[in-house]
Amino acid sequence: MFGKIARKIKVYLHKRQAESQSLSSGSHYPPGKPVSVSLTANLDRVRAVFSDCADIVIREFKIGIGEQVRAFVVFVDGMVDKTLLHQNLLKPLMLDARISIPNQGLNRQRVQEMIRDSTLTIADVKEIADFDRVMEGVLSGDTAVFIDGYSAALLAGIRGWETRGVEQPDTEMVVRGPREGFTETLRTNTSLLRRKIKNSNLKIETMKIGRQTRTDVAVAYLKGVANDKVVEEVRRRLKDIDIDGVLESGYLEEYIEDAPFSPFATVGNTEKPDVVAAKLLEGRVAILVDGTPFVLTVPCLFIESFLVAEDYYSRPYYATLIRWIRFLAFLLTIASPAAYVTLTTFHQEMIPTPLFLTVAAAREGIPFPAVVEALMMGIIFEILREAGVRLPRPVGQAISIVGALVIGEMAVAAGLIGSSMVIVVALTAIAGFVVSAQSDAASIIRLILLALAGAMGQFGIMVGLLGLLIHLCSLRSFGVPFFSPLGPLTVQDLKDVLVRAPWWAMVRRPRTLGWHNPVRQTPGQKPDPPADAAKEQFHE
Amino acid sequence: MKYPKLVAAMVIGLLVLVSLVITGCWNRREIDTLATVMAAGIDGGPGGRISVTVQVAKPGEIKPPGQGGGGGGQPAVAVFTSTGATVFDAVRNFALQAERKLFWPHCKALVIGEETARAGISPLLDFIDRDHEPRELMWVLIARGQAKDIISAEGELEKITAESIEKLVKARIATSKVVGIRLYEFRKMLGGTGRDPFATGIELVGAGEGKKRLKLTETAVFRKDRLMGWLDSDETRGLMWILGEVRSGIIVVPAPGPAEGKVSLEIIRASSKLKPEIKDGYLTMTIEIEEEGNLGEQMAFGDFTKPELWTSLEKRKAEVIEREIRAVLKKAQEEWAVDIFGFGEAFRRKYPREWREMKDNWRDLLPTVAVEVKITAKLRRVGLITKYNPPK
Repeated sequence: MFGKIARKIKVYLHKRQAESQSLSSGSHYPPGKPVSVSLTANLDRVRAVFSDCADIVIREFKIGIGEQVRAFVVFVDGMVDKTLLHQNLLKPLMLDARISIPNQGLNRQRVQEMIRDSTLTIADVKEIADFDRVMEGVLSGDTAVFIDGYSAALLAGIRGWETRGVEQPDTEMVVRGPREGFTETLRTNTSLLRRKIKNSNLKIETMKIGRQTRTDVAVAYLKGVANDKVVEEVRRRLKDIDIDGVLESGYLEEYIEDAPFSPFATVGNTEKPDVVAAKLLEGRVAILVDGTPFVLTVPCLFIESFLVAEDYYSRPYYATLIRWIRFLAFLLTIASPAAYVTLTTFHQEMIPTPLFLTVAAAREGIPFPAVVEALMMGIIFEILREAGVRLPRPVGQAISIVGALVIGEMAVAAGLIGSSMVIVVALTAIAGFVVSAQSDAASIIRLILLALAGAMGQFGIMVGLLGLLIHLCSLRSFGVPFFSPLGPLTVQDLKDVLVRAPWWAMVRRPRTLGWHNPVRQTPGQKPDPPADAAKEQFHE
Repeated sequence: MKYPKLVAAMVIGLLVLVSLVITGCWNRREIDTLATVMAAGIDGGPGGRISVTVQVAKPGEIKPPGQGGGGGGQPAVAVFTSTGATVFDAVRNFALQAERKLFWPHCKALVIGEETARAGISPLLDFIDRDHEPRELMWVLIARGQAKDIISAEGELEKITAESIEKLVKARIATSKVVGIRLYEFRKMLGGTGRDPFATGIELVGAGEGKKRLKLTETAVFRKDRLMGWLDSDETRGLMWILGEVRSGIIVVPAPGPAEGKVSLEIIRASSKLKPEIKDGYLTMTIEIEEEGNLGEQMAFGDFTKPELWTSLEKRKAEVIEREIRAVLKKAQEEWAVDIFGFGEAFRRKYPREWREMKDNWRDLLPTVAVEVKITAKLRRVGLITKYNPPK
């Protein structure tokens, strides 16, 4: 039902988008205006374009001696590496050019060539004739060199601005494994990926999205591993986006996801290059957005929320055990308040007698019904969490004390909240952090289940869980069933779902991602040291 | 096409909402509005009235919220007695005096007064079987005297008397000298053709200084649903041998050989087989008992691991077992003609055709069944020391 509504809305949006695109086509940079031959005209145009832009620097100067050629550079202050600018651009042009460019007898066109080919000691220099593309380059941090009599500008890539270093991401901590995380700079991020996968099959396509922000977006995939249809679909969906600005990959996520009305995200995100590399190797597509360390990956399956990079770096036994703990934790976090409410208000006979008496003792004299108690505690917890996240760190400490002591202990001591409810809520909260990828969805489902439990008891919980299962099975992410490989069942892929099989046993790539090049390693690599060798070693 | 679908979606949504609301709250009870019945007793009253006594747990006294300390010496249970023309009537009449609604699923024990039991207990059980709250898992006990006194008694170690009763019944395995019968088992015995039920007996015994204490003593034997009489400990264990229910226990035999004193033999495992036979119109029942045990104690000097003494210990043990079996057979089979052993059932299985003629006068036939007892009693281990010699 939701899917249909969603599809309808998508079609509607699509239509409107097409309309608005035709209306506003090229609203910002009408293509095709060439750079003028006249330097003065160019200068005027640049001044006009950047009127009232305090951060734009325009520097006029003259090249050569005698019959000098006028020129100017334009760049955004703060986005350019000043040292490079001075040493490799301005100095060669102003000083060295006097030696390399003869005084006279050269036509102007020759001067451009000389400058481009033998004066600027900068690797990345592009000659661009389209004025608007030059402006776009300047805004992205390039330095434009306009030379009199030259109907093109030289764009020198000497970008350099203040960036955050490659740090360990706070959202995905590991004990064992790489600690680097993506940064806010797209180039740094693509280089982090390239350093993991040194293969020309790693393709990184870029595009600009956002009418105003012109944000760089890169689509990365492994050619021959990723499904071409998925790559094409990603491209198509991204191209269709027409919005003012992209400040975070979440903007794009909402435009390309398959189920906008589902609490579950059908687009994955991560801050870790090794995770993205692993997903690319399995045949997924990554979408990197300039300005955010969060990289989107598609197709995204439900089960991915339960898999952590560290599973693959530690030995398989503990990884499998902890994976099951995560399944359990997810179930606990969505269902335990609901289960507590049904057990205490509908099915008291299902609790073993000693536990029943303990719970009854805890509930003695509590003024609220259990379901209200659970709702209150749930909301209080969300408040505490939100406060803890938003507040500056030193104040956050105070919040945790207030939360733990005042809400926890005193509410129980004052007889407002049953002590067993506090335990249930605490367990729910802690378990929610175990599967952090689904914690938003879990909060919503928890509330729905709680409402159902309060109204209909265990029956309500069953209805809710069944509904949840049906919903999960109905979702798709870029053509791949969201709940696969469990539903529809793909037995071959269970090696990395119910257990984490040893690496040498995971010969094939996940079949659910559906590509025809499934074998990723030579089969039969199980280490098998010869028995004789061991014997010899010890008996000598 | 657009609108019908939207309407359909809205109708479905509405149905979901309605179904959430109309389920109502008939079954929704907060845990603190319930009075948890831990044990119930049924006695007959004057003029055919029924008196029901319940023991209700007071959770606040067991573990007061917040504080860790005990309930300040307050009893952890409250006892209510209510009377009515029928059991259900009496149970409903609790609403006149108990502030909370009685909640039965956690009821551990059903105690029935001796006198009432003699008058027949089938009618009393109907309500408990019929109502959805009480569980068939509760233990059935027959009080020596009034059930009310048992329910009102205080446990020594447990705060809740029902817990004491349940723990006592569960500990029967250690001795095999008392039985433990759950309501469904009692029902099954009551319903079987030619089968008679039995149940645990419970009584209050003096514990000095005017104190009374609960004790499981004897086994109540019924003829159909009427209490016939009581089996003592040895007879009860005889019954358990026949049923193959002996799990453990101590058999005391006189020391063999020249030594004087007694030897305790611990039962480790036992099983029984009933082999019925009809020969020339005579009914015989062969009871085969296989028992294994350890030498658990010798209050006599000597080394009983010597083969001849060892086998003589085994023999003495078999004699004790047979004596116990014979005792219960004498009382139940011959005197009372009650089939608490399931002999009839064994005959029905092996001779279904003959049983059809036998079943109507089974009660007359039962005392005529010749019972043969075959006992294989083995001794296995001696514990940490092998022999016990007099101090030098």
